[in-house]
Amino acid sequence: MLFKFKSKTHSDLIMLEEGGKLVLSLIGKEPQAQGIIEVPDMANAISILEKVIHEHGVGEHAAPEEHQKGRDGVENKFSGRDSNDSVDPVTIKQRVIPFLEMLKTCHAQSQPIVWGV
Amino acid sequence: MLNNDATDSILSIESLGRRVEVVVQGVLQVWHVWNQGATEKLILLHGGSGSWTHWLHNIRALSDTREVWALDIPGFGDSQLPPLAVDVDDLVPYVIKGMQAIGEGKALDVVGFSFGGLLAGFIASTDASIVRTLILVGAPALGLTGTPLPLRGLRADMSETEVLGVHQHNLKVMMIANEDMITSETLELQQKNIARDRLKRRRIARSDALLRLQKDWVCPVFGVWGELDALYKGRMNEVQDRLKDCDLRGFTIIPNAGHWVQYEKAEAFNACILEILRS
Repeated sequence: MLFKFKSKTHSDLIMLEEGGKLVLSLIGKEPQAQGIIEVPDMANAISILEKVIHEHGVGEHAAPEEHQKGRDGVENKFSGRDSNDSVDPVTIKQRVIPFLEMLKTCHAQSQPIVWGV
Repeated sequence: MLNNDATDSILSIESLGRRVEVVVQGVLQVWHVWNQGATEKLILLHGGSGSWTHWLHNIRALSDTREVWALDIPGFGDSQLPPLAVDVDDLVPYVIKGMQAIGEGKALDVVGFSFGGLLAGFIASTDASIVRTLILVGAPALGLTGTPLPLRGLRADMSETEVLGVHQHNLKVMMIANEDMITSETLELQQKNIARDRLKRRRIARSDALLRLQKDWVCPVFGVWGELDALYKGRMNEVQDRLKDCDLRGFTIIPNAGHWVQYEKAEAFNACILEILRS
């Protein structure tokens, strides 16, 4: 399942299932197939995500097991490195920032964000 | 001095499509899409030190009947560099995830230029289900690498004139066969793209990796090379033979064109790609 977030004032933002569910649940939205983030709700959502980033910082991982899953089947045949050494586990901050940027842009332009439509 | 020719061209083409950001494992990758909604999807993967703008003169023609998706490969253009990534193989899982998001389960036609051809080769080898047709353009890693080209480096203390002189030299040595094709637009494109290259330690392009990877490809493969490609000087007749372990359906040499064939001879290149895709 993909989450395709759209608005009139920002690039489309596609998040894979785990990332999309994470950001929606953080701002109190049900990660359903379709939805909308209205402009009046954005300030609170921005505040929540900024707080999450502040509390978790760069080093805290969102879901290391998801990271491992994402690298499965990709053998690093040419560099000789172990595939799981090649990429740091994903942090909550990494997952949240692109969505937060979209929220900020849309809030500034007073445009809602929709997904699944 | 530059006169923003490339900026105008980029904005002109960019405005015809949409910018789409895909987040994979927390890493943002930027795609541009044109003619969204067309039945067939075509993926464009640019060359090293490039961005989607390597296809600047191809987007209009290729997107006439197809939905064209041009990626800023992770570590280039506006896309983020995945943590600890140093070479093409580190980018493969990220780009596969991005292509899966775009293709929504369907196999895609992929055109890979130079470094992007190498990346496409890795992708087709790693996940055969995602590539329907593989078109290699001036791809490296065929074990034909000769003496390194006399490229010049940039220094922080260079003036703008000196920087442009370096770009002019390097474009002439590696990318463009006919020097009169290196315009203000070409220099500006090069300058913008080089400045955003964050994958500086890549080495696999100088190996013979594609020779091994091709054995895993199950899709039809086509090759398109510039006749005067500086990377294959004196060895152009060997390129096709190197692709003998895959289902090579066609190999086209575009006359009087260098490595960046799709820029230097855009019309001939576009016609060639469209013909391949129709076949």
